[in-house]
Amino acid sequence: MGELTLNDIKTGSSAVVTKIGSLGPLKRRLIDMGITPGVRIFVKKVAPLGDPIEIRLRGYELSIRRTEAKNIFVKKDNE
Amino acid sequence: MGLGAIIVVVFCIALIILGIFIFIRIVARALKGKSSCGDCQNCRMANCPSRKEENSKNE
Amino acid sequence: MGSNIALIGNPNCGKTTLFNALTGSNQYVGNWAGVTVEKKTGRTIKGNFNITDLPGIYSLSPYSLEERITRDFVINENPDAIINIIDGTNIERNLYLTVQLIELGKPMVLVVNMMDDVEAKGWSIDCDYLSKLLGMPIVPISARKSENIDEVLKQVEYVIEHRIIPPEITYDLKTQNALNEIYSVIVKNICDAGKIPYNFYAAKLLEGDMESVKTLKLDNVQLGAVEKIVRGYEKSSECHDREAMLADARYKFIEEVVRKTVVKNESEEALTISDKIDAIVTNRFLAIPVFLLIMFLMFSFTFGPVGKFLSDIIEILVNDVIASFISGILEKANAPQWTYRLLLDGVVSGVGGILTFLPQIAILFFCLSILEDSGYMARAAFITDRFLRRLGLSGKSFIPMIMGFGCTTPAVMATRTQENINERRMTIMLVPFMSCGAKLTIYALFAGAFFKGNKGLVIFSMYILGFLVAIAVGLLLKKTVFKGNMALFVMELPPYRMPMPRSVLKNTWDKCKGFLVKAGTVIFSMSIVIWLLQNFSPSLHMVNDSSQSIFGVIGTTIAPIFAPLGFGTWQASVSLLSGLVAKEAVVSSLGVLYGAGGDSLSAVISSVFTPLSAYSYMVFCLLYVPCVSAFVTIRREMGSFKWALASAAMQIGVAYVVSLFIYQAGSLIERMF
Repeated sequence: MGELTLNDIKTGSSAVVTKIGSLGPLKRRLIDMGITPGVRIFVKKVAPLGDPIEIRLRGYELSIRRTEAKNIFVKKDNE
Repeated sequence: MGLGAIIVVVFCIALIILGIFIFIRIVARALKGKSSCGDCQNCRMANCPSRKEENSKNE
Repeated sequence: MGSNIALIGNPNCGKTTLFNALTGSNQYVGNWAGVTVEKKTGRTIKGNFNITDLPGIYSLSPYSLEERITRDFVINENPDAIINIIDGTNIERNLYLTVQLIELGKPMVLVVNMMDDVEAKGWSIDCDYLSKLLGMPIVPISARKSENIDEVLKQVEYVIEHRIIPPEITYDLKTQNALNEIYSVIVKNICDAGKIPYNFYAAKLLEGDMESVKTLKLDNVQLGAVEKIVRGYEKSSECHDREAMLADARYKFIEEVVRKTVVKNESEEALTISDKIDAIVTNRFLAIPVFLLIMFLMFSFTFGPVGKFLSDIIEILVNDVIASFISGILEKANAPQWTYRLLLDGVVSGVGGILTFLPQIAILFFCLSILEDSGYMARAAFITDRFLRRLGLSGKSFIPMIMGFGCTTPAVMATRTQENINERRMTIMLVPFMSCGAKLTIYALFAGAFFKGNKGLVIFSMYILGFLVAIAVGLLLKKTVFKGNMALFVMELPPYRMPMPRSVLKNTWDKCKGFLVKAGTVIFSMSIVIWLLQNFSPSLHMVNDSSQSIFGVIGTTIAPIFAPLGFGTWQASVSLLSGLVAKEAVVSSLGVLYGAGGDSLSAVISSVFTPLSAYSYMVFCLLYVPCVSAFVTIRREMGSFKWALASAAMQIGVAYVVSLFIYQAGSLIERMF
């Protein structure tokens, strides 16, 4: 693959979404929650057991699993 | 048996009948799948008979 | 009949709080997404409106049950107006639903809630400008503090009277063109479908939500034409994804609106109070100790000196004041002996015995309300998700499980937020192992009689055991019944909020009221029936020796089944049976059967049980089938009688095996030393 996903982003840094992978109905849920191409996502925290992760986007906090993060393709945030 | 005793006995029998009546009602509702938890204030159960009564009071 | 108003908004943005403020009703509120799982209608205190409080949704393209309820209500029930409530601190994501609601072409009022939090953050929202941009009245409120509530109704009245419908939103050129083209294909069908304007259907077709457009009855030619337009639309962007593109168009519009109207003064990574709390509560190393500490504090508070003190007061009231008052009357009236037994041993021991647990129940629910209101529940789900996934559950199963400590019935209903059916079924099957408030009465009685010094610890061990059994059964079910499933776990983590004293007290009071009602109806009637069954023989003669009674005969028959578990007395066995109606009835049955309540019941119990058999009995009560109302709810939520029966059978089996193990292993150890 080689493509960068949200799962690869370190805690405490952010990235910009480029594409949402195919996840069936889950994809629509992620989109509805505001994870659309172009949005900036900040990876805030990892749960004590390593999964899920807490992200911040559009001014609020969301928790998603790593399997879901793997389907969110991103590019490095050049800010 | 004095008057007092008769009153007590009648009261007790009434209590027994009331108890049996409530019990049958509870069991019957449970069998119909209509048992309620008595917690209507917090409950959002669809088709709950108790809630319907409560809602019709609102209207 | 007044106007019908739908109250719609994202989960956890304060809909129910607003609903309560408008109607004076006391619906249940908590600080986690998905508290409201069913719609509820109420009349407003002022004005002539019926307001329907709908479950929170993020979008009009629904997956889970509660989202479908909301969408169907708006489309089928055709409300006169919509109150869309949004969380001012999370305005961007909240407006996403607003944009979709505008497509429905109904008079709308936008209520911006949490204005106090917005101000506390140092933000400002230009509501006048926002109102101009969206073309609808905007009312800033703080539902928790009941600020500006009357204004909401005034605006609703205004938009209905003048039929003020928000204008269509103009998206970017590509999207707008695609929508217009689709419109020209389906225009004929829309006239037949009525009510809902074209924007809605065109948008649904563009994003590929076929369920919502069924009512249009499009033919294949039309569907083909739409498909062609959509393909052209997808080609125009580099991500080639219709859903993402339309969502993006909507968010672009919102971003523009927010940029013009909202001033945020902080940099995005600045630490909020929630962040500071989370630094400890969801810390990698501290999260689990903190979680256990919270649970421990909750239980020690419940069973600690405060609860005990209040219980003692009630017990004195029941035994010394009420019981002696009744026996005084009976003596004066020279009433026959059996009336003493009925009133004192039956009703007073049965109902009064239960009432002594009221303080503990109240404290437990008080603690649970605080946890729910504060926003901790979502964190607990976040912390435990990884762990629960090993059991085939998810973090979302955690909230119902914690609620199960209160009452199984609402806990089973709370599983509706879980989208995955297997996950949901499994949660429903495991929730009854979470010891409910009613079972508390049983532990309190037995632990009080046998484990005086370690009462709190013994009761806590019940909760832990229930949890461990749930884990074991969960693993087993995952390996056998519910194999391999991938669920989604996308969950909002709301900011921590100070629990509202009013809401916490209200909630606690409601639970207490429920408990009192139950004591007055279910427990009362059970006490009478048990008394009858215990005082009459199968041939319906009054007996003095209760082992000859109907109950004695039934109990003696089934008692041998429980002998290997250490409690093969007929009284213990039939009490388990009456526990099927309500778990508190186990205690009241024992009270009636032994003709004792409170401390005297403890004394009787300690002469017929040993500490080991008492523990075994507590374990059996913890694990065996929940009460009738919980069973009925399980049946309904599972949607099948078979599943409900299977889960009941599983629970009885588990209860028997675990109790058997504890008693036999315990006796073995006792014999060895």
